[in-house]
Amino acid sequence: MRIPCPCCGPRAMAEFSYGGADLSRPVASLPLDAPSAPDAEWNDYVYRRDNPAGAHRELWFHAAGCRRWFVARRDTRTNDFLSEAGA
Amino acid sequence: MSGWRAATGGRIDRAQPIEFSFNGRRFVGYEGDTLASALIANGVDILARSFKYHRPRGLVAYGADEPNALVEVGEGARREPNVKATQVRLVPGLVARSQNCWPSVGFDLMAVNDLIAPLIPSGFYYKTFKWPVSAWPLYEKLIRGAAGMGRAPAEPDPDAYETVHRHTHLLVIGAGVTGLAAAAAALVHVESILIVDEQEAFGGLGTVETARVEGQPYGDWVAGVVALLRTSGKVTLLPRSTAYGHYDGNRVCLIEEVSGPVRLRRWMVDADRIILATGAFERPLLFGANDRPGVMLASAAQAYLHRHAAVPGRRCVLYVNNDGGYEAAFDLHSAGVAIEAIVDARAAVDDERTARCRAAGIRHLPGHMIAHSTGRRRVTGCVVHPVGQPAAAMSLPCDLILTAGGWSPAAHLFTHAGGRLRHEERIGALVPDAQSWDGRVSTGMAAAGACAGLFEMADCLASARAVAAGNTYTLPSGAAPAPLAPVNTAAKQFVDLQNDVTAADLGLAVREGYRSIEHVKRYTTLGMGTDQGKLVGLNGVDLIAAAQGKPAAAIGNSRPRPPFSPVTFGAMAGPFVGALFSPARTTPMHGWHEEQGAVLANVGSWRRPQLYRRPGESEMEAVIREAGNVRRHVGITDVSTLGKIDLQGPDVSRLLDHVYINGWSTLQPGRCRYGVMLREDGAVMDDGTTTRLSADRWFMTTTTGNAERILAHLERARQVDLPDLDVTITPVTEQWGAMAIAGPRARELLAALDPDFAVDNAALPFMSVAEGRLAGIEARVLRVSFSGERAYEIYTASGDAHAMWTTIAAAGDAFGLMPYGTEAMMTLRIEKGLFVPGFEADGRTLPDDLGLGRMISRKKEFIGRRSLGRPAFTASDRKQLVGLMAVDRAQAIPRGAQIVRDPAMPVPVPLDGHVTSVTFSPALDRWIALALVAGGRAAMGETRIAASPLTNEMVPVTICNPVFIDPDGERLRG
Amino acid sequence: MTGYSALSLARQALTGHRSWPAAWRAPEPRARYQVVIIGGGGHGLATAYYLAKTYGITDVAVLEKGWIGGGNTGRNTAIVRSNYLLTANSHFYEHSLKLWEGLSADLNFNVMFSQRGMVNIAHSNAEVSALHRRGNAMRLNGVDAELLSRDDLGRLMPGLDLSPQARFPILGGLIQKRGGTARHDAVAWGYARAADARGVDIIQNCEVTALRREGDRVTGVETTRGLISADKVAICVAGDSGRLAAMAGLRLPMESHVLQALVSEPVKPMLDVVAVSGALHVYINQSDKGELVMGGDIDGSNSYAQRGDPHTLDHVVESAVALFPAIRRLRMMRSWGGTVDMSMDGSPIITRLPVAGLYLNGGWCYGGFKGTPAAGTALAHLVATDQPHPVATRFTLERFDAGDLLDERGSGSSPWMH
Repeated sequence: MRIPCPCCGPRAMAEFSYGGADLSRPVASLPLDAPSAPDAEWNDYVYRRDNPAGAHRELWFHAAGCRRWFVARRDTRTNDFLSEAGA
Repeated sequence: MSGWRAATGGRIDRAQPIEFSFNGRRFVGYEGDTLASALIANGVDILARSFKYHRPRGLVAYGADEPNALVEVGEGARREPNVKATQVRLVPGLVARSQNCWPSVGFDLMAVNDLIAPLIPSGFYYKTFKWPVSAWPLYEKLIRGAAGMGRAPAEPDPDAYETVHRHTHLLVIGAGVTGLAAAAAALVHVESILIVDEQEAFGGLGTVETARVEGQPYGDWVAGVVALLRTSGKVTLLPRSTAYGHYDGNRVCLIEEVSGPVRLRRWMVDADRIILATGAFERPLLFGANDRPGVMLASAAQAYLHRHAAVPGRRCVLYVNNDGGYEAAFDLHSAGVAIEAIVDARAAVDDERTARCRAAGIRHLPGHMIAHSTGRRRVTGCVVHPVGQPAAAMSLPCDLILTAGGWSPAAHLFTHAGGRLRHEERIGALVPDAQSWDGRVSTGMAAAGACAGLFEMADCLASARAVAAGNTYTLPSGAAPAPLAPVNTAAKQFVDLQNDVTAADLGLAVREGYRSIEHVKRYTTLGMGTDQGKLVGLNGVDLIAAAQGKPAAAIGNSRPRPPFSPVTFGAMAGPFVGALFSPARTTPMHGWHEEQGAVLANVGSWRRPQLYRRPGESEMEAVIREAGNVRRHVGITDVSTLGKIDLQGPDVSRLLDHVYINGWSTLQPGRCRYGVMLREDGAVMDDGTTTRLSADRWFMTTTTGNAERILAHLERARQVDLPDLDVTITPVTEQWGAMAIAGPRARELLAALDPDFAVDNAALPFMSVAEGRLAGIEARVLRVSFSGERAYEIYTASGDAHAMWTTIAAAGDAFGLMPYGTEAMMTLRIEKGLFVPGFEADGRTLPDDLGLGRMISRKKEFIGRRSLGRPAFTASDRKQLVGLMAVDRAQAIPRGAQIVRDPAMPVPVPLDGHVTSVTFSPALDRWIALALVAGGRAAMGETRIAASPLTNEMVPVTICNPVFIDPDGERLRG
Repeated sequence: MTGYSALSLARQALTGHRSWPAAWRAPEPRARYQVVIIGGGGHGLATAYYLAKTYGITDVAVLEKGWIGGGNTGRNTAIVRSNYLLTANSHFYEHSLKLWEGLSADLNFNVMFSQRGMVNIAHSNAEVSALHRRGNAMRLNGVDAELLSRDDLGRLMPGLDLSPQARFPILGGLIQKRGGTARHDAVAWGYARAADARGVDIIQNCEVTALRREGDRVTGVETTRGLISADKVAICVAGDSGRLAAMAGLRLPMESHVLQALVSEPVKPMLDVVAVSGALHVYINQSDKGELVMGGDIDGSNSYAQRGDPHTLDHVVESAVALFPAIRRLRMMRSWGGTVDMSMDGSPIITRLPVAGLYLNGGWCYGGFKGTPAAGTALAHLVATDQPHPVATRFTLERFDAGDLLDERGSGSSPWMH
């Protein structure tokens, strides 16, 4: 399988490492001065996933290349890369 | 002994006889033979015994579809089991033998299984051997011994394998007429073409060698196209190469048989477009005892004749259900084989074939079928009757029965990456469904020719040219109807010859409720042999469908999965064996360590000195000496393996604030700070020192094993979380060699190295950095410590590191310098209570568990911060880092011990924690350990048991502060 | 149910095996059941069996979208063990192992459970210590474990490369002698036959397309074979748990990934134990038919494709060759992939869902096959009593937010790294 790096073009999958679903990290809202139980938004960010069978926005790292982290859309049923978008 | 060699013909070189041995007997074949063709020519009938019933078996097929003739080839370390005799090129001195039989293939005592066959139908093992439970291991041993096929190799394979990568605009799989025509047609508009075929010679199997292609003799046409391709400058022709798998993204893996220093070459081909022109496998027709040596596919007999002048019998009955099969009989007849009869299951046969039979004087029996074969170790005849009239049976003498049951497209590769097959009524077979790829972006292939279910030459050529141009080919109407497979009720009709699965077995499976073809396959093992059921498919589907009263189209197919043909493990591993399996990394000082006789061990991907043992020393004595010397004098250790990352830009401190639990904005140039990183779920990921060299230049070190991971983590933080930061991150692990000198006399040693910078405690205090020349070499010196002693990490360019090391080693004699390895380093850090990722921080550990709670900044956001407040993360009974000392100071604490209160309790014993690291402490002269113990910090001074039932040790231990030496850090800072 | 035995086999042989009854019926789905189980793999079928056997609940349908046992039940490497480090996992899988030990007799179906021994191999001092830690935890949890020296390993596995010059020299090992393998398909078939005999309807080619609910209560399922009402619905579709949960509007702490495996051509017995090397990321055993069965890590990016990248298999083979150099001349005969639920801490989930009457069994990661009997008993207990089974109390959904994690590998909420 080849992965479309926005910098280097399609390259062998072995050059990349996977970074999971592209999730937007919640803006810090908890008080800084004392630990408190995380809110639902944070819990969802850390633990819950859409896990779609189909188009999946996900992060890849071109570890053995340009070291770019980027977002790709891939169909999880076919491994087709649907489009590309820089992070 | 029925096979023979025709006096003329074939693509063999009669001037080059080749001697070989089979089952200990010497035979002679010719250059151009395969083992199979040579054995036919030498009249060898029985090549193998079947898997389950040990019935005698001979050759059935010509290529990868051969189910029977599995032999062991080669000797010693090159002995290879389960090789299909059809795929072995004859070379001088070849040694081959039959397998899975005893004492010999001619007389096999395991054939007793054939007598008890009624007791052991498909799936019998699911119904028995259950009682008594204790006897199953014995039954299993017997079953395992009887199963298996060839003997596994016993010695390491001495041969070499390699992998190459290739991108091509067009990959054509199969170089028969269709593949060649497709490649030739694509030449005009495609820049690069790779065309592969399993066979030595392009042109396809030998069935059509007497035909004409576009008005030319077949051989001339093939030679012309091959020459065109070869001279085009665009085409790579790859004979002796099997495409074994098609993967997402249009990657196709090939195995090329090569001669020379490399045995097999594996190609990883990324293709923009793929044309599948793999042809078709002939479908056998079933009858009773259709497994006797002497029963063969008609096309195989043709191929042996045309390619090798090897003729598998002298008196032949052809059993056929389609027009094409007749050619085999006519070809053999021309070669001098007596055709006893042509038995055609169809009542209506066209006039042309009837006339040709008459002209050749061949008995023609349309509307007939073979009931069963006769004979014992070889076919001696068959019983034939009109379809539906078993009473009108007659016997025909023969030593060869050829069957021609139509063709099954060799579409296996089409399904590997998601393509589907559909049942085509016209040919009664499964063909690739071109619509499989609708909506797919980067994966797909187009089938042409016989592989697409097109069995006429004109259709093959037209479809090849259509797909080469990117179009689809539609068959003109008026095609012949699907061939008929007559119903036969005889016993011992083998559907899967290799796994000994009969038509009756399939019926039994269906009766027992295994209706899905996948259930039948798994229950009976149909098609699960090394031939991957290439001859099984359609006959199996038809029988399963018939048993359920359904049309074959309703049964579907069992999806073929990679590989198309078995692939040698060596070819998959390629060069990545032995030392090249995950190549080891070595530091610039590696040679010195080896000269000193250091004991080296793997740490992550690196080789590192564990200890430097002196003559007469035990390993433990060496570690105690090395660690003790650091505490008393000074030691040097190689820390080049630390991950090193260069950080530049105005926003580095903001990046560090984001990834470390502690704050960085206050760190002044020239100073170092210790930092701890978490994952987003709050667990400790790594620790290390980061140094501010100047306002916008920083230098980070990570633990050895986490270097790559932390680099990715930092880049992700910068690019994904904080894209506005101006920071450049560069991994420099390989650019710097590094060594630490540690001990009370470290400063004296450093000063003796002629530094061009001040090294006194005021100028270079703990957690500071100096850059300059040391011993005449550019160096960066960090005053940091992983031992609890006064210590300096000296970084130089990798190329200078060895010189720096040897200079220090020479200068160090005066100060009592000794090298120390990773074991002594462990001892020193345990004594100091310093945690290590992988031991104390094992991916479940939070910063507060390690006593780092006070380090956590309350003024900023950082990765993992918001997870730390989970209810169970703040519980007081979490496992916390503590020290342990054996109550009896002479007693050792067992490694990997669990901490319990009372080991005498009945199991399961509640576990309070576990020992993470243990060492004999030269400083304390006793065994000490670090441990994670539930509520440990509140249990100082309490006694627990370090329990190691594995080693039968139960050691009382006292919980104590994990910092065993110098808790106030005076040695460190002084 | 006609009993299976050597005697019945002999009797049938006299009549050409013509009168064996179907192992399970092929009923039409009824309009309503007390319990509907979605997923006819080993777990769903086992749940149905124990619901009927232990709790007397026989008004049960198992709905399978394809053919029973066609998902991960038929795609694993058939290893059974209970050599876990964390106490909760240890107790659960040990419960499972004990059920395995009596399973063939219980089901009257030989699942060929072969306690040939499960060996973990250590290649470094740190790994030896880790095996000590794990083995001691096992022993104190009542699970069998013994240390192995290099000589012991050599005796158990004559082909193992014990050379000190090996790239990753072998220093020692740990064996769980009661661990081993079973015939994976037979587990599905055996449970199906035994559940069917107790009245459970097994309905194949019946795909659930939607969950029906009234308010916060589940009332049934819509399927490709019509609407089926039920008081309780249990989801047992590991690999597809996310898709089913989405029908109930839930996002789960898991991802679907592809795990590949391969077998060699069959050869005579050469490996009598199950061998695992954590450092080399490979597990390998030899089936009763003679094939070497191997697997490694998941491919590492979300996938429902049931197929993977060839590189993953190359790595598995490289590692296997590093352990057993002589197998380099053997050949891969077949490879395949299955979709596994990778949970966020690497441990399973057996729980009630926020919709009343709806239950989930999933998140099995690499452990689903060996957990089959215990998962069946635990889910049956939960469905029947609405209380967690004592060996599965920690396998909740709430554990993630609470921080009460069961992170066996310590790799955190990055399932692709488990």
